[in-house]
Amino acid sequence: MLLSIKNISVDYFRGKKIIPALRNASLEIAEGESVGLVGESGSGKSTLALAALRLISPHEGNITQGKIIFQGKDILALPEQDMRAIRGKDIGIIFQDPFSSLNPVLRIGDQIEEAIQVHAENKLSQADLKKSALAALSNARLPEPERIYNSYPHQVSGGQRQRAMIAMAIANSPRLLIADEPTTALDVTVQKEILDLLAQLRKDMGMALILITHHLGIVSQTTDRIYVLKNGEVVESGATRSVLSSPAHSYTQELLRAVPQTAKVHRA
Amino acid sequence: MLDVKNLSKKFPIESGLFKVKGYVQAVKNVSFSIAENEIVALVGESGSGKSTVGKLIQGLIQPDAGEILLDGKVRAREVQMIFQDPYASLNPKLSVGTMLKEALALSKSSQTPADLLKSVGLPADILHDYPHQFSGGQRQRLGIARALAANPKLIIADEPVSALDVTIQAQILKLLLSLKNERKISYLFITHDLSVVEELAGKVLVMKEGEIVEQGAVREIFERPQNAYTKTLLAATLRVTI
Amino acid sequence: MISIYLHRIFRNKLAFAGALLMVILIILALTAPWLAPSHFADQSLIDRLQPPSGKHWMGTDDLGRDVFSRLLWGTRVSLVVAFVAVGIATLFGTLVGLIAGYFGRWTDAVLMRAVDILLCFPTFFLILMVIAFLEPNIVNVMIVIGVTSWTGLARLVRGETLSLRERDFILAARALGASTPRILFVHLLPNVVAPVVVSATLGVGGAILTESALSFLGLGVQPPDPSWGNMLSAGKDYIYFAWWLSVFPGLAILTTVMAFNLLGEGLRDALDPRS
Repeated sequence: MLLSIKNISVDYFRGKKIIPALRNASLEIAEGESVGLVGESGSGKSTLALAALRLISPHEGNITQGKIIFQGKDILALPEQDMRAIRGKDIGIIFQDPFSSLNPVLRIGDQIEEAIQVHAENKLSQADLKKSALAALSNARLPEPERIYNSYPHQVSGGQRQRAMIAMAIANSPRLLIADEPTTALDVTVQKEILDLLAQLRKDMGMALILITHHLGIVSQTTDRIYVLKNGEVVESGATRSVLSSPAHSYTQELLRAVPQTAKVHRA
Repeated sequence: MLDVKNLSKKFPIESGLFKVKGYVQAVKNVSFSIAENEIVALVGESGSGKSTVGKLIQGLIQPDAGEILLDGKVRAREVQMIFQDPYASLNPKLSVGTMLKEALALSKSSQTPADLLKSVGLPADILHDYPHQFSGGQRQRLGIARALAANPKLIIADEPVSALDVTIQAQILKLLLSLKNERKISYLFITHDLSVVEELAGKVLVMKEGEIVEQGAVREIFERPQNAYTKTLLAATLRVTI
Repeated sequence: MISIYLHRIFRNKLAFAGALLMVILIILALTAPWLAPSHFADQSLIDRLQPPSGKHWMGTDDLGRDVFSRLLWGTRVSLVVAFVAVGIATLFGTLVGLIAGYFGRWTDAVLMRAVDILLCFPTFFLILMVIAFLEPNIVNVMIVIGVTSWTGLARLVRGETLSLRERDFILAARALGASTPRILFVHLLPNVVAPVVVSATLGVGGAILTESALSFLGLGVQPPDPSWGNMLSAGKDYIYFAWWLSVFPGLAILTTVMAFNLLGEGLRDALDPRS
């Protein structure tokens, strides 16, 4: 098992109030697997991803119980230094809006090089860094890697930005990639390209993928297993096909009812 | 009822204060019509010009060329809009009651705020509440209530459900459909979500880079698309395999 | 809506302290004629330059006038000048900002260039120049301060208006047929009020200091009417042996400006649209 999250509960602090974001949530993903986290806003799906990477700052919230084991290591017990070594190297993450995830005043090439340098064992030369960055951009199927390398985020299209984000996330060949609503802000045709890219990368690099989304069509086409979240709890999980064709929980059924009849396709 | 003929609009690309670098032709020679009690979907990706067409028909911006005729002449108030972002479409400083009263006064309508709230399925006791106290779906209903104040013949819905949760989307779409039947309102549904189009619309217009590349009955277009771009759009739509 | 703001103000300690001090000052100003032991012009040449005592809490000045009484009367001057001057500046600045921001293009360009030109002149010298031509009295001081300090607010309001102008709820109002004045005052103005209030509160401190400086130079309130500034001016000649003539007016200015600054800072936190 690559990543194993057991009975995680997370609370958020808002002023003086404590808001429960996750209650007893569990998730497992093996090497090379593709798993979907499905839920609406407030379901806690993004929180689960942030918790796995210990990206919730102490004044925002905390993990009140549970265990997270990644490659045999207890994530919650690791010193921050070791955690930083995992983030961006063994586990990569991409977010919904590439525009706000990329620094607008730095060139894309510089940002990718930073991701590489931070995890490199020695100080790499500019030439080596540039080579690796361009390689990452090509792996992300960007047609003009050199041009994107030299551009600022606002100078490229939304789809290209998202690919640049993916390039940054995979530059260090992570074993696991977490994609939080990676295509929600993108056009439908671009969405398909990005999802195809992620599938291709999984195949080439043997990378596992946790795909967080509210779009059932996406999980249907791209994941092997799914977890359905509602109000911080996992209400149902299982093989994607089975869950979607015979949902056991009433919430899953409600989600499926909300999909227009015309968007459902029966298995041939 | 609504006739759009050869509509065109370009926007200047400005650099600096007065220099104009060039123009972006947002809408090129667009023509279509909407009948009474009809739902027409306008689909396209970002940059296709679909939102601009909506604003032109509403009268918020003026076309460079072309005509927009509503039963002859356009009177802005008979065309109303509902917007995508429920968090930005309501004035945060106006209470529900004040907002609806203003809308009714501007349209010289004889309805009351309570009537409007009832039409959209909201309780009548929220008149003193403010937008930030409501959820996204409820705010969208308030936006619809405001549009109804003007007794419009046509509502332009610009991505009305994209920002909402999936289960709420279904509710709002159901509401829009029932309002159409009750009040005989036509809709111009601007969206990029083809599955919504299939459910609701009778006619669809496909836009790309300012032009309508294909238009026709929804069934026809979806089953036998002629245009290459339409085919690409349809192929990119992900369906749920059950 | 107001109740929500009031609630926030009470919770914020800075704002509350500032507001409390402000209320006290206003009460002092309003009740000065009754609170003061003597009239500000009452002279008593036997009691000249007496240090603070049981009879004269803050001592007497070179004409035997009770400093404490004059200080209280001076409160009225400072507050009236500050409120009216800031009122003028706020009104004008908000109006210009709204119009420049909403209409954009030429209107915006012309108005903002006017602002830029005004900002080229060092404010205080501009005020001095104008007062030199007009008669130095309290009304002219208020007008002059008002007319020279609206520029910052105009820019602020213009910025806010520019970003609000494209929001959907403004489009919706236009779609419903709302007239331009309606959109400016019913829809845009309430949404820019928060930074305006903060700026106005902070501006009061500045206006009080300016009036004090003008009166100190003899260009503001004329004797025998007391202003903290002209009391400071009169006191400067006696500063080595009658410290109370300078210290108390100085402390009054300090406290008042601080009160308004605290209020302004607190309001800025309390009215933050993000909370």
